[in-house]
Amino acid sequence: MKKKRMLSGIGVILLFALYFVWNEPQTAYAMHIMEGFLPVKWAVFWWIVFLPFFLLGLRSLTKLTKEKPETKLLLGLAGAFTFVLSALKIPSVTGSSSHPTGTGLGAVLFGPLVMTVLGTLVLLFQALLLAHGGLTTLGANAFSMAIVGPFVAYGVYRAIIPTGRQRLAIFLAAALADMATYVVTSLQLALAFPAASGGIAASFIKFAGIFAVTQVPLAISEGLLTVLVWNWLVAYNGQEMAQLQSIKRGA
Amino acid sequence: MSIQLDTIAYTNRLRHISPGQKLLFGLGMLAFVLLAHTPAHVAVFVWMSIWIVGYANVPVRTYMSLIGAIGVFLALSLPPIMLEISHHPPAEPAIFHFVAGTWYLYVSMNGVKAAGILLLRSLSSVSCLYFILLTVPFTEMLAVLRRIGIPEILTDLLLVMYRFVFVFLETVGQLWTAQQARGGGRGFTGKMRDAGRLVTRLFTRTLQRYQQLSIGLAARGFEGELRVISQVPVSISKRYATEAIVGSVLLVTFEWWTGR
Repeated sequence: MKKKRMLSGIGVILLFALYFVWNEPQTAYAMHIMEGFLPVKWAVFWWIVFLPFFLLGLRSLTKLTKEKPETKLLLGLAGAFTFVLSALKIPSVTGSSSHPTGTGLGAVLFGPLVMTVLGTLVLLFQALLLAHGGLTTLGANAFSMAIVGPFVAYGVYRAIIPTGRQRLAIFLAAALADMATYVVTSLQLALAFPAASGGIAASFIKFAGIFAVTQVPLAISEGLLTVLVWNWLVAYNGQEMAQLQSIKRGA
Repeated sequence: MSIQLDTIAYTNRLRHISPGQKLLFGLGMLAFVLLAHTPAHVAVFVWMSIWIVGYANVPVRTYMSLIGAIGVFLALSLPPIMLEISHHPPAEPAIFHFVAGTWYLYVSMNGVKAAGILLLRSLSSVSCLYFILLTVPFTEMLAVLRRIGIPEILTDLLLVMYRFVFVFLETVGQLWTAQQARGGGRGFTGKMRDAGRLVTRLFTRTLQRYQQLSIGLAARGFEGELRVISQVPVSISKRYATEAIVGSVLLVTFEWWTGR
């Protein structure tokens, strides 16, 4: 009896190991909730939560482009840059590779409100060109990745910058933006699929625990990468960074 | 560099049909799937696959690999939904359970059933999404968005993004090849450094492109409005409209019949 139990225990552990090995490259495309995955009331709910932020961002962009028409081009190009950034493969600390979200870098470079709009458009492109994520779940995905992510990144960055430790600020901004996105997505899934025993809280622990295996290393990798990129940008691209001030200050 | 879905959208056999008609049908079906139940989900999936493979003439193999990729992704997101963790032994019939200290890990019959229902709903809505992606080119979607009164700033941003996504993907491809040719990507630190350089270079190129574009457009009298000629097919196909309407009515009846 005891032996049988041990065997089944080993079996379950092997199954989990296999699941994570197989899962890692698949979920590497950040945390997207697929089309049709959320029940209709939750899909609608997250759209309603997401829209005010998006419209606020859009309003500030409209004001910005009215004053200086060419910012429209800069914003479009920044959006394309973020999309391509999210399609890159970066090495993960676990040895495999995964896609960065780019929200941390984007929020620090372009400002959080601009990033809200750009991040949403990037998600729309991912849905329409790559079939990652979806249209009905765009509200939920945009809320976690294009609203919570950038605002957390910017908040962390602004909080640490006064201490003068710029590298730490950039690292934490990028890593915590990813972590916040992943926690919010776990929460969204937990709310939509509460556990039979233990309800939403148990379900949240379950989702967050399983996703942590892939998402925590990804957050650390993206943090490291963002610090590298930032150092080079500050060292060699002062002129280009100055151009961005026009959109960052306006929004 | 090309994106497969985008290429098919421009070459499929339903290309000449008005994008408004295709979008209305695809989005209508998507909304229906969200509200319907499992039998209707299976029916929608089969019908949409007929539209994609049969009418739009997307190669079966391509379609299967697209659906397969999504299927694998979905299957992998189901275990977290099926798995239950609790302090008490499972109250419902469990397929398998496992005790870790004071915790019980188990998968219940109900959990598997719920996951199966979710898988079918998601696959069937993905088939509707694919119908839109595979038959309506992005530029025509933009034209429809402009017509229904989406703010100009959004459609303009999408237009610029769509134009440069492909340019930048190609740039990244070239930069990556150059790095590999020089022996890049060795070990974790090396890979990280190369990825960092790639992003930095891409950023520089982005802003160079911006300068070129803004000078080029300023020379052509750009004052904040991007005007494009959109040659959007406007022919509404009666044959396909009839099938869409009759099919939708049948589906709603079927849903009403089975969903009672």
